[in-house]
Amino acid sequence: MWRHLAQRLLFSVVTLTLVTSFVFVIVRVIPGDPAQTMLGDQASQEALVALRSKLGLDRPILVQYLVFLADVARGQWGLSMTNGRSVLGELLSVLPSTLELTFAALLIGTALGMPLGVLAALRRNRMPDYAVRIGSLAGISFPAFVSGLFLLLAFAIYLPLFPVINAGGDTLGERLHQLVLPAVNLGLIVAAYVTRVMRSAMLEVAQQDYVRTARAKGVPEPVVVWIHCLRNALLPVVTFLGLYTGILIGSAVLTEIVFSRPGLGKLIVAALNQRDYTTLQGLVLAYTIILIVINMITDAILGLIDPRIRHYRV
Amino acid sequence: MSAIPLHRRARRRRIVLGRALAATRQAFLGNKTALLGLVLTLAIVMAAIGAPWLSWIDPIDQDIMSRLKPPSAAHLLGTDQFGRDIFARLLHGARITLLIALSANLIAMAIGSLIGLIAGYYGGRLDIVLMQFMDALLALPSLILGLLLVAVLGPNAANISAAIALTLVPAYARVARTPTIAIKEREFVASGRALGYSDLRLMFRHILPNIVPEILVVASLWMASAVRVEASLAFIGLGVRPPAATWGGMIRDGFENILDGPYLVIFPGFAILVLVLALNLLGDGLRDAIDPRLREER
Amino acid sequence: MIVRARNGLVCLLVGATLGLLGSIGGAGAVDLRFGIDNPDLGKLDPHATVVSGDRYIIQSVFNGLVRFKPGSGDVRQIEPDLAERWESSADGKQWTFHLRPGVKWHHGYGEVTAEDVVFSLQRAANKDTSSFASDYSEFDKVEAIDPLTVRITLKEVVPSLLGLVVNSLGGNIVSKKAVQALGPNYAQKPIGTGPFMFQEYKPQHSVTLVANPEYFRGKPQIDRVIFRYIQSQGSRDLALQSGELDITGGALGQDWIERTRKMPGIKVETPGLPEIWWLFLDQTTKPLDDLRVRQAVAHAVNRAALIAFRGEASHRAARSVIPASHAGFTADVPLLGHDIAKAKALLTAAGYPNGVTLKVINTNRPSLREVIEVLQSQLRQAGITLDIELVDHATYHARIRKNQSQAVLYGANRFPVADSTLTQFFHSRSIPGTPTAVTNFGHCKVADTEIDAARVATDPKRQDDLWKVAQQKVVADVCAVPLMEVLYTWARREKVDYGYEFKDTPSGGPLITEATRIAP
Repeated sequence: MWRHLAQRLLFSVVTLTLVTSFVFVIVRVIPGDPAQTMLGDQASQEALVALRSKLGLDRPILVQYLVFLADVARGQWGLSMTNGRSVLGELLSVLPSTLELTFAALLIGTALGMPLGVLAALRRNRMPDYAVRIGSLAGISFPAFVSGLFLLLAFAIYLPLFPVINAGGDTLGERLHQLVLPAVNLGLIVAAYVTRVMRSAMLEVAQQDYVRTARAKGVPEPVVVWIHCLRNALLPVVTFLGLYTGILIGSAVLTEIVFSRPGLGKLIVAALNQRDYTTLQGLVLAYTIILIVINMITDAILGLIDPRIRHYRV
Repeated sequence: MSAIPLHRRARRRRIVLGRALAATRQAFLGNKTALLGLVLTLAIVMAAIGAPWLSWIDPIDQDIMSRLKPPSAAHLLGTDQFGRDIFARLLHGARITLLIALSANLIAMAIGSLIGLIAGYYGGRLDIVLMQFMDALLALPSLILGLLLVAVLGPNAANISAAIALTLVPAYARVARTPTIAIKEREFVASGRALGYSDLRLMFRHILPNIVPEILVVASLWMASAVRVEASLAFIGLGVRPPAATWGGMIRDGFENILDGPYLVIFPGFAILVLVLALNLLGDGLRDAIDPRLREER
Repeated sequence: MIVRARNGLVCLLVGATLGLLGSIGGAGAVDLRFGIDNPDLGKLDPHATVVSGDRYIIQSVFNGLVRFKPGSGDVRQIEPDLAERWESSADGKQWTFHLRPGVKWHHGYGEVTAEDVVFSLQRAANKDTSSFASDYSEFDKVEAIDPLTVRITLKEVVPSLLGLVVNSLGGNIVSKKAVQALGPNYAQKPIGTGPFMFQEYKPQHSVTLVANPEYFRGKPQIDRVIFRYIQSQGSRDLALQSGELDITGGALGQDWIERTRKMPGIKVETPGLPEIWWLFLDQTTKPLDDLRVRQAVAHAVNRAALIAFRGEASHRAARSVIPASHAGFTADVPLLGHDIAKAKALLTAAGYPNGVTLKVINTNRPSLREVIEVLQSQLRQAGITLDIELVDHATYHARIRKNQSQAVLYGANRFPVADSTLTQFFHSRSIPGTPTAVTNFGHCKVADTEIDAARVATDPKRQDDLWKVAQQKVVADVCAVPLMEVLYTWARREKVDYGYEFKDTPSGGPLITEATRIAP
């Protein structure tokens, strides 16, 4: 168990190094010049050269990389190249918004997906099963920006129940009000996946010996279903949620764009558009750390619950 | 010297092919939803191929006097902000979308399967190093990785395919690696090795044909995800060159003019939905058919 | 009321009663919600930022020595701001400004002194701290004569000195004490003298300004201005319609104007001082090195159709290579008209009977993107293919400056005197790739002598003549095909009253002043 965790940790450090070097090189290969973005379209070549040297962009890439690594190791993520704000500060100030959206979506997804998955499994190959299966397949087929736009049209324009843009209210009521549509948008997609995992996990568990034994011993059917099957079928669902949270954080950008919400994804798109190397590096680092942490937590939980657990397919 | 292995190989190939064919046939006969997926996918592919004949309007022809017109007899699904026919653009957009998704998957399949095959076959340190690289690629969400890559390479069809391919390579590598590890221990590989066959020959002639079904099954599911990623990139603004149409790009443009009519985003939105859904249905059906464990359960 | 009802409904929906905690805003406070089309704030340092979205905010926070009359961009209507009055020497090389006494900096940074003005103008002229340093290259010295008097001495006469100390770009006066105390944070916590003070910034979301009760022209009528960052035009339009925004910038075309005018309670305005848009043709690349090919491109462009596409409400055909509103403009230039047959004949004569292909790098910002696609479609008829690579805005700016685009679609609105536009876009010093490069994408060099002579000409008549010849030469050489003049479009709720007539906009956006109010 501990050895496994230590191994994961080592691999994580390697992954982190690989990803950051990869991104470090990539952002410098991208055409576009942060100095130009900062000085604007009337800047002269002389001014651009001066600024590049001030930003250290004229140094050899290896030197820039070592400086970057040293800074990161000391917890200094630098200042944004385009607006001079602290990268870490900027990141931390939008992180709550992304996490809020992600967790609300996970909550909605689980609350909706688990019962539907059980229902489909119980009514296998009958109407409810078909309906749930088609519905969940449609759910995983919707690109988030398409479903987001449809929701926006339906519940902010034709039925003006929710705001079009995130007004940024600070009270809990206002925050929830703004969160509903984006969270439902992502939540429905999560629900679709959870339903599928739940259904096949239930079906698989139902074939296991201990369930058959329980039935043979005359344990009442509801107890078999809700206690024996469900408890064991939860494991693959947890595995899946662990894996999926990372993907969710990554794909939240589309929902953020449609609903005008701040978030990590929008920050990375903006940084990419402005060639803000420092912010890009910091964000990629943050994404990688978040994913690694989620993976490790999931691994640890699952390892504790059931060492025999294997990864589930969706 | 090679009479027995040759004979065995031929029989094995027949068995593999036969198994796949039978399973596929069963998948579509016994599974209405998979059949629906197949029909829809074929319909979209045919529509894409037949685009010039299905709509005689040129998708890049601008008619600035009839901009942003709702659906009518002249323009079945209305016109966009340049007065271009949305129906024609949807059809022609399907070509680009399918082409990008297909080529991305073929590239990823070739590279990823090779990496998975090598990693699984040789095992040991090489396996660890290769899969570590794959994990590093997976450490970034695929949309973010795609964004970075397209920004580096510049947005055009070939580069978008390459970027999406790179996000899929690790997934293919994993799918290829697991069965390789199992199969290389099997008797026919061991006997091939005893006969002094080269590693290359064992990998490509003996192991590869056995893992092809697994790879093909996931391919249709990842076609679906490639379509989604391509549309998402276009929506963010990293699409193919104008005046070519893509569905994601049409939604992006439609959103800018959304007050002129939701049809601007609804039609391309549904197009994406239907294609992705069809590919997913197809992939689900294939998987159920080919994966015996799942088949028994259902 | 409506907000309350919606809140209640949501609480039901999410099954939470927590919504009761959500009180609605500050009771009775008047908020103005202003939608900005940028993804996020850049810098609120007036000397450093080049982003128009930042300028909309800065103009309510800072003052210049003089200012454009609100709602006007006319150089002749410049009026006192921090300076009460000013005078210049007979040769125009020495200018003295007398400051308004008792003007207070925001957030307790004391009173405005000549020291601040000297510091500020020197900062604006310094390459390390200012994006506009080159504008001040003719400044010899800036001195404080006494605490309320500043003197500027010039090396050479400039076409408009007031234009350099006006409340725009480098002319905004910053607080010496605050800049020194805050260092790089000044860009995040601007200290000015204007009607509104910086209060809060939420990344990717908004900037909030609050009223400056001690503003020297009186206390503002609005309590807070919330600048909300929403990049998508569609989202801003929907938010305007749903009542979530009070003011927002529009798309540049007629379609937007017409549909927005239909919204109840919304007023659409198109202030003057248009941008001019050109298609630059890089005459150092093949086949554009042949004048006949450039002429063919010019003949293939159909300005009338372009205007019809974008709409007459906010567009008019360009008549020279500088906007008609700029001092020194002349319409007496040999502009080539739309003539496909002539374009084809010229191509054939130049040895390209099968047409030519031009490589174009263009931004995917909707306004510029739509126009390049219309041009692509027009030029195709003459056998000229535009191979367009669409990239994001930053990449576009960087790559066209590396001479990677044979034809460059560009729009700009420079200081409204012929010299600025002619120098930056048509003088050989400004050719990309040279040390002094700016934006001469056509690699034009036919009018250098005239442009240079006009800048220092003291006789207005002679200056005008030189500018006229310069424009004629540039047009004849087809360094760029002038396309159209484009007005900015803005929408506001009718109950929002700017407090002035919104005729012109030097910053590109409406100015929120102490007189701006919202009718109940």
